[in-house]
Amino acid sequence: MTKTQDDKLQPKTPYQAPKVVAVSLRPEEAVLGHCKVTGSAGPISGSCGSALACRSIGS
Amino acid sequence: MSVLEHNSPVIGTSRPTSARTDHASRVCYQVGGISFAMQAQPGMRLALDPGLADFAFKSPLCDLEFACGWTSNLTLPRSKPAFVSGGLWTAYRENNGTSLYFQTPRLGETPYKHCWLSDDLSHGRVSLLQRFFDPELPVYPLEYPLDELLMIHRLSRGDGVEIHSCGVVSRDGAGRLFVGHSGAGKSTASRLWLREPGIRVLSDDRIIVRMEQGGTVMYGTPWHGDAGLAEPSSASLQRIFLLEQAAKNEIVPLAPARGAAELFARTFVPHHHAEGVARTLQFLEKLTSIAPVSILRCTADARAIEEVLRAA
Repeated sequence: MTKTQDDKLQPKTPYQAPKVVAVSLRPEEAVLGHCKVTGSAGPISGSCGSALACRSIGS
Repeated sequence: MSVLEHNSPVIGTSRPTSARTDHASRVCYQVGGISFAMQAQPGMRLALDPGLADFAFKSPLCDLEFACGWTSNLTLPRSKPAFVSGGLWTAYRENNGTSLYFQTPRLGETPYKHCWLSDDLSHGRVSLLQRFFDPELPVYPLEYPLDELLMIHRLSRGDGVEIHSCGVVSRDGAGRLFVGHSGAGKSTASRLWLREPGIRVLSDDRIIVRMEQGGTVMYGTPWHGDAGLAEPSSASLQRIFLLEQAAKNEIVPLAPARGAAELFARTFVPHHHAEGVARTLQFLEKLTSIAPVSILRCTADARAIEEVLRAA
């Protein structure tokens, strides 16, 4: 079967104009800039021994 | 990790170390099928972070090898940074690799840690500024966020992606990924799923997805969320859902291109590395051509679970 014949058998998908869709990016989460300890969720708790500044983004 | 301030007494004590790891000159762990090793130079004792205990690994040669040691002097390069995170770290291009310098307002302008990572992402060095640390205590030089940064750099070779998501495995071994920013409901969903019989949750916050010979695989990570779920195992990934809180439950399929874009916004990527970003986008394009992506508008109760199970 030639390509042309094959094309005739396929239902044509209606044309859809391209659309711009914005997706929300949260830079403060995306770059892993802040602290998130593995031993506890969210901001470093009082039991955490790290002296790093706690500006955790949490989970 | 314990840290000393300038000429000050100890302000932190070492957190308890893993029962599985002695204070050693070499420690390793494996996450997402990628292994990391720290080899200490004389005078430094190492210990894994307790959260990595279940991910401890033993190998004479890991995928990424790091020589770790003390330094008495650490200053930022004079060159323009490649990327400023706005938080703890800043990236520079140095010596055919990437340098990551770590600072915290608590310790002033002086970096407390430097990591150089080779361009082939196979090895590096970590230097800790000795005066900030108690030399009597063991240290974990790859302490967060460095361990996760190294992971996302390595994955950006095209090896996979780390997605802000929870990974749920049903009794038949099928994996579902529930993706969302902070507050989307990943930990809540994880807790709800765990009420179902035979369900495992690989992580309630970070999942690594890779393509392997047998198909698409999702891996648990130690970087968990509020539910504290972190399992060092994997499962075949079947479906991907973007979490959206709503008054009623509904599943809305997405076109692959839209799915890839939405996943990218919830994927951890070294944004300063153009090739890495491009390879991540290629990976997501391939992933969304294999695993269907849908929006899951859901209530924060068991009805959402039922909706997903009905759609299976």
